[in-house]
Order: sequence, then C-alpha cells, then structure tokens
Amino acid sequence: MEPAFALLVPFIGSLLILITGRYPDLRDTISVITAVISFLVILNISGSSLNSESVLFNIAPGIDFAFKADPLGLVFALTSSSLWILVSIYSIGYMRTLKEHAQTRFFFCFAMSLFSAFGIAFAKNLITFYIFYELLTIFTYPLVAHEESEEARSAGRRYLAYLIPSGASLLAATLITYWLTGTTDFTPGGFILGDPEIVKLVFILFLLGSAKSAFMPLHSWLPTAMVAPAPVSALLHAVAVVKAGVFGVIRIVYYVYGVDLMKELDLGVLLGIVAAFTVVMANILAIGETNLKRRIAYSTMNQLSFIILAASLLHPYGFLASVMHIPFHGYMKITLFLCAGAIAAIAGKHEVHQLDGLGKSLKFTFGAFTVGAIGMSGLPPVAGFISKWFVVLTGNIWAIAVILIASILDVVYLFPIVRNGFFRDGGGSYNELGGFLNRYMIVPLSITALFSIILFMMPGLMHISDLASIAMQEVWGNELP
Amino acid sequence: MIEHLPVLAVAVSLLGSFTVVLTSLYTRKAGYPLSLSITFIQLVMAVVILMNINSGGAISYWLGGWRPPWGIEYRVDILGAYVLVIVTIFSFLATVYARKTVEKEIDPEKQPYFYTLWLLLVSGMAGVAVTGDLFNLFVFLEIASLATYALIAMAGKRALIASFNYLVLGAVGISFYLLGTAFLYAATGTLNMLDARALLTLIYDSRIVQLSFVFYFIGLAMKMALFPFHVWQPNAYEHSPSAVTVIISTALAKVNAYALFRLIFSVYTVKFFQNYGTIFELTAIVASAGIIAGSVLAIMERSLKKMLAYSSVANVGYIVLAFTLGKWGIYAAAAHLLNHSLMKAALFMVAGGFIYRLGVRRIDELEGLGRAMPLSSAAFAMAAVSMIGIPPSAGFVTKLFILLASLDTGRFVFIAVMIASSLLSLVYFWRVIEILYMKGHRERMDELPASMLYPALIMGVLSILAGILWFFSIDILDEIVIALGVV
Repeated sequence: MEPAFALLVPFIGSLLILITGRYPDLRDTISVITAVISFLVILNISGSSLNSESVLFNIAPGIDFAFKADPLGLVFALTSSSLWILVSIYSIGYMRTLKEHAQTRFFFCFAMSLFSAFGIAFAKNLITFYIFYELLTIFTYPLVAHEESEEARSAGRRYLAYLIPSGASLLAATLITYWLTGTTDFTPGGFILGDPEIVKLVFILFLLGSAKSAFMPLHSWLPTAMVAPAPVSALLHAVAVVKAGVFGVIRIVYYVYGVDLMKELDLGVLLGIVAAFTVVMANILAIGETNLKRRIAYSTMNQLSFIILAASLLHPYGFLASVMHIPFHGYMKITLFLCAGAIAAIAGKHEVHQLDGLGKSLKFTFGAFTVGAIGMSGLPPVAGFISKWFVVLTGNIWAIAVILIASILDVVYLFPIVRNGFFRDGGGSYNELGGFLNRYMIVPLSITALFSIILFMMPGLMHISDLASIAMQEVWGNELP
Repeated sequence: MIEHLPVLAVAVSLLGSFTVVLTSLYTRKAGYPLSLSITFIQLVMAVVILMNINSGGAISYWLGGWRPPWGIEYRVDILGAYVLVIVTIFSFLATVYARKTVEKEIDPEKQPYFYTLWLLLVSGMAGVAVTGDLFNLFVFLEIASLATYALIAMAGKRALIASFNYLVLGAVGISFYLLGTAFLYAATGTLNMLDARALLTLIYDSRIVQLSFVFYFIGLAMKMALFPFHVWQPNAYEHSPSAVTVIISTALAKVNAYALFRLIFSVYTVKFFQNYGTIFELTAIVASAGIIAGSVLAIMERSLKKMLAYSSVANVGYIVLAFTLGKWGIYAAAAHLLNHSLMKAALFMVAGGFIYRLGVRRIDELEGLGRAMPLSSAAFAMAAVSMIGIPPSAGFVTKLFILLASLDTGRFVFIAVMIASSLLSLVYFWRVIEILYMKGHRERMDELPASMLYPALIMGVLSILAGILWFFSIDILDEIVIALGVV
C-alpha cells in the first residue's frame, strides 16, 4: 500500500467526525474505527511496502509534494497510530466522565493532528515535512486551549507564540537548503552542501525550527500547555507533537546533514550540549513542580532531550537508541499521562501531595504508573532500559554521565509518588472500575503499561527493532563498525 | 465572435447600468436581477476569453475600426484575461452577496441607483483589464473610482466623510496618473501600450520617461492604498455598505494593482528598471515599509473591518514587493491577485454578515460566535488561516513564491520582511479566531442568509484549497511570465 493511504484514512475519518457531530456515539465510534484502520494500513506498509512512495504534485522545480514510507518514518507512524487507538478509547471515557464541552471539535482536531503527524512521518522532503509540521501546530491549538478559560487561552497563545515563529525558522532553513542544493529530498547520509558558515547557520535555523522538541530554552510552551485535557497532554507528549519535534531533529541530523558533515562541522557537539543541558535541567525543575501533569511534562522534556542527545552522538548505537526511544518513550509516557488523567477524572486530584494513599483504591492506575516510573528511570524490566543501554554501549563517557545523573533524578521525583500512593494513609476510597466510563480509561492505560514491559522483552514488536536497524544500515551504509 | 468579446465584456454592464435607471421608472426591483445576470454573463465571457488565449497570443480589438496606434486598441493577453476573470468572479459573487445587505442598508428609493453605480463600477474595472491604451485606462479607472465614491457615500452619515476623503486622495492620485500619461505622450507621441513599449526602448535615458514612471507609480499607489498613501482606505472600508466593501477590497483593489503590473512589465519593461535599479529599490523599500506598517496598524485596530483594511494595506505591499523580485516575483504577484481576493472576499463577507445580523463592528464583540454561527465563522477562520500563510493555503503559496523570489534574486532582507509580516498577521488574525472560538458563550443562532453565507463559505474553502490547486494550474502563471517576456 502507498503511504498516501495512511493519510487519507484519518483525513476522511475527521470529516466524518465533523459530519456526525450531532450523534456522539456514532462520532466516537468513527473516531476509534479510524484509528484502528490507520494503524492497520501503516502496519501493512511496514510489512510489505517498505520504501514505497506516493508523489502527488509538483511544487517547484525539484520539489514534489510526496510521501515515502522509509523505515525511520514508519517507526514514528507506527508509534503514533498504535497509541492513537488507545487514546481515542480513553478520550471517550475521559471526556464523558468530565462532561466536557465541544467534543466534536475535540475529536475532529484530534484526528487531524494524527493526520498531520502521519504526514510528518512520511514526508519525502523538507517542504512536505514543513507543511504538515505547521498543520500539526494549527490543529493542536484548539486542543490546548480547549478549556476556554483565561488560563487556557493564554496557554494557547504561548503555544502559538513559540511554535509558529519556530515554523517560520524551519521554512527559512528549508528554502535556503533548496537554494543551496536544488533539492530537499531526505537522503540517508545527508545531501546538504555549500559554504560551511552558511551550512552551520542553516543548522541553527533548523534547530530553532525544532521548538516542538521542547529543548531549553525553547521549552516553556510545554508545561503551560498542560492546562489541556489529559488525552490531549498524552497526545502532545507521547504521540504527536513533541515526537514530531525529535523525529524532525533525527531527520535533519541524519537525512539532511549526514554523519560526516555533522562531525566535520562539530554540529553534533553543539546539539549534544543543548540536549545534555536540557536533560539535567528539566529533571531538576521537575523535582520542584507540585502539579502532577506539569511534573510529568518536565519528565517529557528530559526524555525528549535524551533522544536528541543519543542522536547527537553520531554513533550507530546512539542512533538506534534515539530511534527506538520514540516508541518506547511513547508507550511509557502515555501511561503516565493516562494515569494522571484517570486520577483527575475519578478522584479529582491534581497535585502531587494529594495522592497519598490513593494507590490502595486505584490499584490499576497506580500499578501502571509504577511501570511508567520504572521505565522513565531506565530500569529493567521496562522498555526504557534498552535505549539507555544502547547509549552506554556507545562508550561516550559524557553522555553516560549525563544519563546516569538524569536517571537518578528521575527516581527522585517519580518514585515518591508511587511510595506515597501505596504506603501512606488518606486520600479516601474510590471505585476504580465502578462506572462503565471508568473502564474506558483503565483498560487503555493498563494496556500501555503492559506494552511498555512487552516492548522490553520483544523489541521486535510491530517491526520496530527491524525498522530501526534497517534505518541504521541506510545511514551508515557499509561503514558500520 | 471571440475577437468581439473584450469590448462586449465592458459594454454589457455599461448598457446594463443605464437599463437599471430606465427600469427604475417602473419598478425598483429590477436592479438586483439585472446586475446578477449581467455580471454572470460577463463572467462567462471572461472565462471564454481566458480559454481562447494561448500562450504569447492576445485578442486585439480596434475600437471603431481605427487601426492602432491611432485608434484605441483593446488588447487582452493572458494576464489581462486572468485579471478580467478575477474581476468578473468577484463582481458576480459580490452581487450575489449584495442583495440582502442592500435591502437592509440602502434606502429603498436609492436602491436602483445603487445597482446603476454598481454596474458602472464593474464596467470600469472590466475596462481596465481589457484596454491596451494608456489614456483609455485612465478613463476606466476614473469611471470605476467615481462610481465607488458615490457607492460608499450611499451608506450615509460617516460614510460621507470617508467617501469625501477617498474622493480627494483618489482625485490627486488620478491626476498623477494623468501627468504620467502626459509626460509619456510628450516623450513618445503615442498612447498605445504596445507602441509605447517599442518606442521607449530607444529613450530609457530620458528624464521625462523616468519622471513619467514616478508619476504613474505615485498615482497608482494612492489608488491602491500603498503605504503611506493608505489613509483613505480604513474609513472607506469601515463605513461603506457591506457589499461595496467586498467588491472594492477584492476586484477594485486588484484592478489598480494590475494597472501598475501592466505599466511595469508591458510598457516600461524590465530592461528600463535594469538601467534604473534605484527606482526598483525604492519601490521595494516602500512596499516593505507598507507590509510592516500595515500589519502593525492592523494589530492596533479594534474594529474588525478596519483591521481587515490595514491587512489589505500590507497585502498590497506584498504584490508591489513581488513586482521587484524577478521571475518568481511575477509568479507571486499574479497568484496573489487572486489569492488575496479569495481571502478578503470571505473575510469581508463574514464581517459584513456580523454587522448585518448583530450590528457588531468591534473585534471584542465577537465572543462566542464560533459556535453560535459555525459555518460563517468557519469561512472566516479558513480565510484568516490562509492570510497568516499556514500551509497548504493560498496565502502560503504567495509567501512561498516571494521567499523563493528573494532567494533567487539574492535579497535576503525580504525573507525577514515576509516572515515578520506573517508573524504579525498571526497576532492580529489569531486574536479574532481566539475571540470567536475560545471565548464567551452564545446560544446557537441562525446562520447568515444563504445569499451571504454560501459565497463566503465558497471563498473560505477556496482560500485553503487554492493553495493545492495552484500547483496543478501553475501553467497559467508560466504563461503570464512568458507573455510578459520576463524569462
């Protein structure tokens, strides 16, 4: 199947959601069915038509509006589409429990965000990538500002104030790349060439264009965006937006610049320093944060910069670590967010200190949270361990040191929540599986927690490890050590 | 038959406007159906003309049978046909839109005269698109302008002042145009564009020729509200009847821009400007200043229609800036003639609709309308997103072409200008979207009447879709570039 099908499904799905808005049950069913079909289409592509292309039309000489299902893009697309199924089920429970307004807009924008994410994953060149990158910003805005409170509006404004100028920077970088080389097609091993000074400058522009990956100092939109409903936070953090950001960084480093050029211009070091700084700083800020969702948001920043850090090592194992951490982190982080959402929806608790003793009644939720916390800290038997281990295998002493510090800090701010939840008294008692709607939340989050463990034991699930190593071979060619 | 179409496209509405006056002796209701059918016939004619012009070719019509350059020549090449189509499309849609707003805003006694002037305005605009004669272009511009002054004034009260301001500045502008024509005539002895183009090649050095261009530029800059000559525009757009705002912000604004387009590339030609780079540089600086100033003024504005007017100031700047940026610039300018009309049509139609339905003019009064009138608001939102230049909208295509043009000609400063203006437009358009959708609550109310809603909705959807459609129909831009001989 061609990659264009993977985009067509959510596009049609979102239109149907809009049309059937008056019938909530039908609308939500369509939303779930769309997610399932998208996943199946992408799984089919990853199995049988790797590297298939669809060219739609020509934009300018040398630039087509085109998609290509290459291994790296498939890893991202598989992650987002598989998680979308669970989040869409979860959203039904969450939105209905809290009787949220404007649910049609919510599900429509959700589907369009995934449409944009697939576009980013399968974009064959920088222009196509840019187009979907901007679309993603636009379609996630109504989700971020969903509450329509003054706080939500200001979060929405900040969201756009960071991401749209960042998109402009990406566009400028893209066009300069086009001007330098006459093409923008992603090529394993890179294609950009020209005066080193200009190429360095363009890299800075690309980096500024990746504000979606929330590295410091372009991060502050992410914690404020936590005012959004929990499924949106889950979408922003684990599935679409920030993953699109780091995915973009990997694309630019390995498919625009290439390992040799990155080394020659010392850009890997630059990228590594930015990422390492964020990895540590985000975790320090997380310790001081008392709101549960915002604390998890800082953890996201830490993990995203871990992906960038691993990519910046320009080592095959570093590359593997960064690519495989996209799905791994996706599953673990979505677990944490779904748990936070379930706690908010069922118990009405938002702050960390309110969670004492909740684990006694919310067993599944806190159990899943524990799995996520273990994974974030990079401990076995959860998938997060694998990616951290790959970084250790690169033998880069600085990176190992940074990751070690970060992992210790992860333990410091995530485990007390687990401990207090299970072992302290108070908090009252709730019927976790009581309402029918509650099960819409508890089942998905249990599944993501389960998969976080299964991925540790079978990283080959959904072809992920195969795709990652094919991508690695593409990038390094015959020079693999 | 084809060779008669250019003159017919002008004549039908000219005769139509007199017919409306005559019918008004018997009935007041004939104005709307007559205008609607006449503008539709013109649209069909324009499309037929466009389809019958192959690249490089042109339809030439000698008025009264007099051979040019002595007689007046109507000459429609691909660019003229393209602009004629734009003019007629938006005249037709504005006419559809006009019915309800005119019923509400214009005194019943005056309604026949409204449509008389309306058709006069349409003939003036169509005339500019088809004529191949510099003086004739002046006449048509003046017909269109005079009709506009009266149309604006029809709203009464404060519109009278707005109209008078426009009249004064418009008259000064058109005088500059006339001066330019006089100087050019003194230098070349001809008024025919093709003839002037040939004769000018020998006397690019002449001070008179250079001065004539400066006069033309100033005159048309006043007409199309290029910064700093824009002062008449916000009030004129704000106070005129809603339908008039729609037609002058889309069709008339583009006609004025087209006149400059024509002068630069068909009369003076790129060679002239290669000899006198400073004129082009100055033009680019004025345009960039207009882009930034228009955007900043739009941010400070609190009335919706005035904000849109300032956004037009910035967008006229895009078009003029694009003139100075080589081949890709022509792509951008030609595409933006249509793109900007699509977006502004939707925006002004909805803004007029809010006034029609609720009487709200200020931006902060729009709270909660996103859910109260979902379709109308969607039309507005789609056009606004396109104005910001989010891909893959029509506005993005223009932005992309201008950025490519700046790279191609190596003038990187305009990349910064474009990006800055795009971010500024994010600020002022997103403010409206936020208030529409994310603030306040209103009960569901009736959408606008169908004759207002559907034109707006079609334009809104097209301002997104056109971004993709352009890449399929880019041939027409290629042909324009070839026809202008700028490869």
